[in-house]
Amino acid sequence: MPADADEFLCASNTGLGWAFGTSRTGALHRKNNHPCEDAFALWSGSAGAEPCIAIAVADGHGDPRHDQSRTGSAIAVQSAVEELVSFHRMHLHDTPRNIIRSEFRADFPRRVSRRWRESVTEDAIRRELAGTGSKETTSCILTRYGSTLIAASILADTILIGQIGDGDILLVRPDGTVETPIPGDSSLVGSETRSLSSRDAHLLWRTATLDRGEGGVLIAATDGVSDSFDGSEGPEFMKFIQSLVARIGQYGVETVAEAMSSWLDRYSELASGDDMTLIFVLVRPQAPASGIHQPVLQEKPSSQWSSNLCH
Amino acid sequence: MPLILGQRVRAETSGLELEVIKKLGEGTQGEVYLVEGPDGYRAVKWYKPDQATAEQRSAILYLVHTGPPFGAAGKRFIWPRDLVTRQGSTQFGYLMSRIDTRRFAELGECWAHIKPVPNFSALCEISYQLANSYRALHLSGHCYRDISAGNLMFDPLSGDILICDNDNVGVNRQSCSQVWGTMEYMAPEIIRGEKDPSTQTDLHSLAVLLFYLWVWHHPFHGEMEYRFHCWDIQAKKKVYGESPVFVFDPVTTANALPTDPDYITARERWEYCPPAIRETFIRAFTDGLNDPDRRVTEGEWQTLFSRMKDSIMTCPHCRAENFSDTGGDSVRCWNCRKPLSPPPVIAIRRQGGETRLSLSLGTTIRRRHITSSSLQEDGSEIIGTIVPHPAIAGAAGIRNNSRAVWKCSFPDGSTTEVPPGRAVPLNPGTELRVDGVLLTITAPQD
Amino acid sequence: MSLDAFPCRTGYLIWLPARLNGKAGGYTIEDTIPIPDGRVVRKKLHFFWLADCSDSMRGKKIATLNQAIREAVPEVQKAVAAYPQVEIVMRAIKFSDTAEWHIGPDPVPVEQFVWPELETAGLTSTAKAIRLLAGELSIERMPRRGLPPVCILISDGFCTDPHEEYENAIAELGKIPWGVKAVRLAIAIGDESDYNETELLRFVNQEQIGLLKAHSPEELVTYIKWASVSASVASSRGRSRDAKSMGEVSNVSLESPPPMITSNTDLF
Repeated sequence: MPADADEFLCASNTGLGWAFGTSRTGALHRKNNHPCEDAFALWSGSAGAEPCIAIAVADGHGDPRHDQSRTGSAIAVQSAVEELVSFHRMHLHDTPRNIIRSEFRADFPRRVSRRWRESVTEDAIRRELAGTGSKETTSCILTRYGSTLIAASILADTILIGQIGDGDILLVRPDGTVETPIPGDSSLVGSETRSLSSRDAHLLWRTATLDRGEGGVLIAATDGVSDSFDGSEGPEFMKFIQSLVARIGQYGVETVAEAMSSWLDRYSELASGDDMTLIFVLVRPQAPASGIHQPVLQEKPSSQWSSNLCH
Repeated sequence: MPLILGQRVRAETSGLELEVIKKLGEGTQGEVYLVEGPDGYRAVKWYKPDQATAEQRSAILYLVHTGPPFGAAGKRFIWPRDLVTRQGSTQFGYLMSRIDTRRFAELGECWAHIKPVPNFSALCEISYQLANSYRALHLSGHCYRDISAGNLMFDPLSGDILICDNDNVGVNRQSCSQVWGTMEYMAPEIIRGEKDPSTQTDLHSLAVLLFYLWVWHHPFHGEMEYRFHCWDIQAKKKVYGESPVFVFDPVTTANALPTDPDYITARERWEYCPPAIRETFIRAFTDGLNDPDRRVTEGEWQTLFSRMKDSIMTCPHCRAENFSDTGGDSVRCWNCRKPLSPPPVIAIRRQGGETRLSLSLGTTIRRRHITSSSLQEDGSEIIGTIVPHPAIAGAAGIRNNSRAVWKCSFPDGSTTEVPPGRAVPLNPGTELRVDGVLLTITAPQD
Repeated sequence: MSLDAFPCRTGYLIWLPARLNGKAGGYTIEDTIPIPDGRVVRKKLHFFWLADCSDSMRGKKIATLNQAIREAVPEVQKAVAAYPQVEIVMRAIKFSDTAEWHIGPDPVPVEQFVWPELETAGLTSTAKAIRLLAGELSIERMPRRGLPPVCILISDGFCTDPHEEYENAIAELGKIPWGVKAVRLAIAIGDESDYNETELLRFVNQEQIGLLKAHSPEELVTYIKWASVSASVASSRGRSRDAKSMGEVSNVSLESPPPMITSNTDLF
């Protein structure tokens, strides 16, 4: 544990929040000597003094048809973060909030799917997996890298979210309400999922935009996590999410971050056996529009949550 | 300040008290809540503080007092019914009807396969109703300004539509608005800053929306868009405003579709469109691109989709819907590629000319086939339906679903009356008189 | 604007503030804080036995069946021990004049599964058994992200339900997603002239296996053990092998509709 909270706070974009993630190989995969097919990425920075946090979580499909999905998911999170940062850069200063939101929804799915495809094709060529580039070969290559993807970015007053395939992304507000901006896709069954390698990937994305407002804890996870409970919409999973946020309030975010890996390993051992990846972002409340500077916080990040989240 | 559950708000003009039940969703300008009043459940759109300006307030009041466009088309607009305020707050919103979101879908939901994809006849119906609704709006002296896929909801099975977010409707060429519209749909002259929103700029947006519905792709997203690494406002201004080029422009191929897998669907869906629809889109995005006076009008779109819907037939081999009106070229089923023989047809002779309606099981004859559409009546009322014959295997007939009696004369000279509920067999040469209009059953032309 | 990438101990690239990166490598994890609430749930594998208890099964056949299933259940348990995340829950449908639950409708965890003696009487209502199964495989009754269910049909004779009823039951199974994804096997007992191979094959969806034919009690025991174990292991491996699941559209193919024209003039 870091000794000084100040030292810790200076390093990140404290105006927006604090992000942590972890990715664990599933118990079943470890047993079968199968590599982890999940990936995640976190990015925090600013452009023109406007901070941004970008996160992404991806789950490679993993079966023999998708033998390169480990690379596919790594490329997916990289593409997502690059595209989110690029979007942030293009919409600095003076773009009205509603325009940012509608442009995100209109452009992001297409741009990120395209970026993923280009990177995957490049990777395939470099590793000599690609054929002569005919239409059939290209789609076969893409399938081998197939992955799901959840991406989100936190800007000054907005949280932008996009998802293709399964996995969960939720926002727990300071008062305890859980927002699920992307409703589940009830048309699929079993382990079917939509994929970045699908032919119409750019149409299969679901996007949402939220007000940053009072802030909260944004949690993104691959389906290995919700599968260890009773599924994305199940009450046990909701209990897990809410009590996770409560633990953050009680014990502080660093402690929870440290413990998260062993918790995920345990869930994998006991239940789904699948790879697990979880990111959580403490989103600070939006600064009031009056423009008064926030005083530099001296206390540890956990204390602002403690009074609100202990249930 | 968003509304909280249980809060009470007031509808200004009627004086009704409403209670906030739950949040239904969120848009870019505000949130939408379910409210309960003495009349039952309604919805309220509540503006965010920065959107709750004096201009918006007077715009809403104007719309509340003016009311939606006249007639059946007007009912498709989810119109502001009343201004809604809360004690102690300067924010406001407006009252509107609820939308059954289990039945109605947004285009994005169909793309993501969350809701069913409309078939050709539903798509024709959606397109027809869209054009018809905007025509009614424009005839009432208003322009929409913010036509986009986000404002359109439709029933993928029946083709009925609802147009939402009508708070940006303005008087043609007169009022200004704080909402700029989504750039993808904006007419080039608006992006270039040359003109203000008007009914003519609406025509461009309507064409873009129809293209999205049919081709699932933007008409200007081709090589130009593909080559831009940085898709920022400058890039968009160029592609949508300064030098827009249609991806299927027959002459200028500079912006054709790239060979990226992203564009396969667009190519395929364009091929599924019958020639008449393709030609109209080409006209809309070449002649009509930079010359607002030459844009395809709502009336033309209406006629086109009505005619296309009437020409739908089912493939005898694979049951897929196809268009039989191909301007003389022989038709192959788009699904199984087998040649299609022409179907039986009803020729409807009216004052305006002759309409030909292709017949398959389930085809409906609508009010608009009989009388030319007036704004007052709902042209989609079903007059007759093609139903299977209960006794003769394989045969079909036309059931009278109207309230009037039809007069029928058979090829052998005999005549009879067809009361409502009865059906007359599809006997080629049979003539029906429905409300003074002559319908002739015609055998398939080989 | 540069994106600084730091390799971290799990080998993936993470862009993080430098401070956090230093921390991640250097500290031991102390499990001092309580794990979050929420009950974990192992993946359920729904296993269905469909057993023929018609008159013709009387005597040796039913005795062997009872014995075989009792021997197979512990073998299934052992086989799936290699997949501790999987929990097999079993049910059984018996069919003679009608189809009923022998064990069910609530599934029983395999560790507690006890096979009661199955007695014989009556006809062979295979169609009704399949319909009962299809009802249980509906989306509402199955877990949303479960493993493919395993269905083993064991019969020695012709289905005495009307042919159309059987075809409809098979069609129903083929229409529901879990019916399609299930691992469906069938074991035929006795002389080949006593049962309809084609009919039973309609239930099976593993073409490479086909219909398992048990000519003797030993074969019956072997097949029951093999079918139940392999199917359970295959299902436990989890990822769908279904190549069609990536959002492709399937074509409809139905018989041609009739031409509709007639020379009749009677109203109807």
